[in-house]
Amino acid sequence: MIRLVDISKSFGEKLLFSRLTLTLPDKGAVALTGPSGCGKTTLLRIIAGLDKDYTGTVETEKGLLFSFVFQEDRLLEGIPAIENLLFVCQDRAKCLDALRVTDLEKEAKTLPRQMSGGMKRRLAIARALCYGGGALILDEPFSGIDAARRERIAQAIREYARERLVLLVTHDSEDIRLLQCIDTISL
Amino acid sequence: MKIFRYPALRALTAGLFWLVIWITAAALIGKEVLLPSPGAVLRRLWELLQTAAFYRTVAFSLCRITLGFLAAAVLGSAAGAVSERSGLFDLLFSPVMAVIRSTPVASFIILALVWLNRQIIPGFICFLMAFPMFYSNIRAGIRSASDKLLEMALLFRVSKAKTVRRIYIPAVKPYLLAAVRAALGMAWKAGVAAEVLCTPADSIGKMLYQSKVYLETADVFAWTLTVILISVLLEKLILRLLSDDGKGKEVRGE
Repeated sequence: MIRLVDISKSFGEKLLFSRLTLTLPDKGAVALTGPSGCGKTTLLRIIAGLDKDYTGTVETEKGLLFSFVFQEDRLLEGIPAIENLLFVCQDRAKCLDALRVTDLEKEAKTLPRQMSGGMKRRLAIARALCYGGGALILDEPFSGIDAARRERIAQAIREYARERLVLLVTHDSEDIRLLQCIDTISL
Repeated sequence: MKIFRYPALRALTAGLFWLVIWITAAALIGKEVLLPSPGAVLRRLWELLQTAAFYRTVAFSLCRITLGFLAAAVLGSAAGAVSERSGLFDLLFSPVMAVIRSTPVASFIILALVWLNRQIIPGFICFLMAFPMFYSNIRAGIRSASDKLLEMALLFRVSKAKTVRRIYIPAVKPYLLAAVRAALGMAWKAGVAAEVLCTPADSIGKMLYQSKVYLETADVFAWTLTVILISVLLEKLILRLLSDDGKGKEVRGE
């Protein structure tokens, strides 16, 4: 279980959250929604331990590893897709499986810099899936991905959410339905 | 003019223009000692090319200068990387860099003549000229590594070695290439200048110095032409060794 207690965060003059308290379950998908600029991505970063400039406490299970699909793809543009996955996961079989789920099997040797925006997005999801971890954070994961592939990828994420926490930031209610979110938190 | 759109033709035109100026000036002056004609220089170069001493001289000069350059590449890059990571090292090392950068090369050559064996001075001077370029460029390259990619590697608990190989090295590479390009020309020229001043055995600098002493101006030109040609060839060779242009086609649309 992840507990956020009295989290306050501001950027200069702008106060993003004040004494925010929140409990997230051990498993299942939870959606985080709200207007642009309300601090959804910042909250994800605080939960994952990437942003430490806040007041309050984040309580997580010791040694919990987060997997993350960043809003920007953050891929290594100069090395093939499969190498991008092997960068975070030693298990080649898992990497190939993640490429299959995201329909990138044929692009295993393609460089991200040769890929379209949607393909890069799928590769970022594949990387997060093969890494695994104890919780999966998704920041606008489906932007630029067509409906058929969304469904296929959502199925893999729902599978993940059976045992672990999936935290989704989205503007699209369709994504919440696709991942069968058990809770929606509005910021 | 449309014809000047072709780079090869542009270079040829500019080259021919200056060659005509040179031929005319040499003819007008009429004294080989002051300005030899291009024909006289090429004749002399051709003669030199047929002697074993020429190749021995070039090989020894190349060896000295290349060793200095390589030492600067390795140690300058290493010092730059350490400086970027350690504030203390940066603090202690910055005065050394300031001294190396601002001291005239002639002062170093004179000092080196006092301290060192003259055979190793040209290499040492090359080292001093090239070192700051590698040092600063490696630092700039490390700083250019994407913070977002580094954060990604941190989140996914990627090892330090993998992070260096996959994030830092690709970021540093263009800076390293720029350093090689800038440092090679300068190191080679400074090395030959050092050879002129300290005249080690079997060196292009010594040949230049002797040509000047015996007023063999065509020889000065021929050796200078050799220095220029080797400089161009070295740059092309090293850049070819270091570059792998993996740019591919872009795919658009999902």
